[in-house]
Amino acid sequence: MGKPGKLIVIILIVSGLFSCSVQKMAINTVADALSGSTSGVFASDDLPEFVAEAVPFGLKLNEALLEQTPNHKGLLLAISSGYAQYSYAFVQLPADTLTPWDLKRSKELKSYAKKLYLRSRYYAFRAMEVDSPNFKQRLFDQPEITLKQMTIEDVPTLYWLGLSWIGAISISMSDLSLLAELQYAEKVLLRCLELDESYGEGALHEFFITYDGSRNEAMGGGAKKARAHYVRALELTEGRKASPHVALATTVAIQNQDVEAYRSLLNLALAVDVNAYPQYKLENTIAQRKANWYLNNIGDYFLLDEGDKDDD
Amino acid sequence: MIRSRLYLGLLIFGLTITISFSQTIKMGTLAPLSSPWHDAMLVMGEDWSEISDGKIKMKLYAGGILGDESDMVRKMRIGQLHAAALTIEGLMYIIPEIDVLRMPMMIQTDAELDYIRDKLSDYLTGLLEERGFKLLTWSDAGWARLFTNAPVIYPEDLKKTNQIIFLWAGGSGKRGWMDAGYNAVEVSAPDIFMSLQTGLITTLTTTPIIALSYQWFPAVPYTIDMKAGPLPGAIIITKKKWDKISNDNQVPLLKKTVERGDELSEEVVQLETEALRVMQENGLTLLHAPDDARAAWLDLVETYMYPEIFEKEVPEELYLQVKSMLEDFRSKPKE
Repeated sequence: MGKPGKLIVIILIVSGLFSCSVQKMAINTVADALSGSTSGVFASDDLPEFVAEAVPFGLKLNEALLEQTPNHKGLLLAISSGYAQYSYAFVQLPADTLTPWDLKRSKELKSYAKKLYLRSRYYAFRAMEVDSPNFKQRLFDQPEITLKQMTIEDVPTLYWLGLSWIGAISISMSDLSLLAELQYAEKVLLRCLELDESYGEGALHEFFITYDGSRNEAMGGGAKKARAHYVRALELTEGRKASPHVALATTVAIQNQDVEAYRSLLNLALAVDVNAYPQYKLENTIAQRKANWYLNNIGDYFLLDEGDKDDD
Repeated sequence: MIRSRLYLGLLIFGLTITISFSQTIKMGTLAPLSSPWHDAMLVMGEDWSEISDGKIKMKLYAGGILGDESDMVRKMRIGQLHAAALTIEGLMYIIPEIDVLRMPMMIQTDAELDYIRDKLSDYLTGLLEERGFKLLTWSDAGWARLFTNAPVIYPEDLKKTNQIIFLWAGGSGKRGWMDAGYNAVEVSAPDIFMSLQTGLITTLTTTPIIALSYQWFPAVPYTIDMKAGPLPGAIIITKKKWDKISNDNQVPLLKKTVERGDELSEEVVQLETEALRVMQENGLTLLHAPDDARAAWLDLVETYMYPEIFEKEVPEELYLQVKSMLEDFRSKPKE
């Protein structure tokens, strides 16, 4: 019997035989185990398709468990991060890398990804409210004051909150109500940077490479900021991750129409040894697939002479 | 041998047919990915492919990855890029005369804009074609209005609240504002966000959709229900590329693209209302400008701004023609 099967049996036994308080303790123990250990199992896998099939079941199992222990912060955080990661890797990325003219399918996937990001945000808010009652309302009413009260312990939850929020906004720019909330989501992630800039071994800086690199200076972003985050992300990841290179290539290099930098960064991403760092195996496998796709579709992002000759 | 020659001939013939009729049209736009403009252009690409049985394909470069609108115009002129969705800012690099459509405080409604543009249509499209471009469709980007960091209804309020007015670097307006006794600063596009954050500028004129999309509105959370002017736009293609499309395809392609442009302009009207609503929910205050305030603004721009515009951008004679057309339109009974 696989791990999920065993866990269901445990939950059933716990539900049926134990008294209420013991049941609660047991559920919390299972929740601790689920929220703390499963991510490593997924992260070290190099078969994204297999993980993609397993994650929804794991998330629904966690949600079922959460009904028994609704204020389990670790479980709330695990569910939030699970939805956001699933949405990015297995829904948004396929939508982005569809041929642009499969518009209908691309729209369906983006709509699906948005729902998953918003579900992630919902759980992140719930996780924040375990220790900070009315956090969501206070964030909207007084964002600076509310975020100032947060500490380094809040960074993981704030990180997933901000990431899922901006993820939802970025794939549905027509949803103006959501777009108007960008100011809050951005403040959440900037506060994370203030509290613990090294969080997630460069994860925060990786986010800001894409965020600043995909917005021009008039919008508050720009290549200079993105490059600074890239440099710091490389320091923190010590070259073990492919994604910072992909992030800079697909934002700044494209915006600057610097095809040499684009190729060079994507090749750096492909040069990372996936098997050397088991904790990043899944992430690096996905990032390298993305790098390959961008290299193979270079003409969609750069005005290359070869294409013109065919036409004219 | 004869058979193989025939086969080779067929292959070459087949290849020639493909080269003659297959077209990739490279189109640029500043519109961000997943925005309504981007979506509309992707739909246009599907239309073009469908109309031409897959022979015309659009390759869309969105999000400003080919540079700003002046860069796109330059790339079209040298044949690197074939088409672009441009706002009036970009169109002015080809037909500066078009700036007459957004003389401050002149055209005030969508109906007025449509009427004037219809009247000027032959003139503007003629100028475009003379300069090597074909209009595919008009496509508007909304209405500019004043955003300030303190309540401003009358021009004098700008002085009372010490507003510093944003002007495009290299554009017109500074002399007029200074002559009228206001504080105005020229800022280049990359520095707008930081200038708003630091208070170097506290007033700007832009559309609600841009104020929201660029996240400028939290720094300038007041606006008035008065339109400063429209921000028209168009999708254009180089004549050289257009002429390579067969006549059979040109007619339906143009018809469908105009339909899509009209749909997009209607969507923009709704989006603008929606943008104002959601910004109000997130801290924007919408102030009412009574008739005497509107009259005061019009007097200000006519006295101090128009002379510089006539000097630098729009022939005064053209402005007078448009003004006369507007008076004619406004005097007609409306349905």
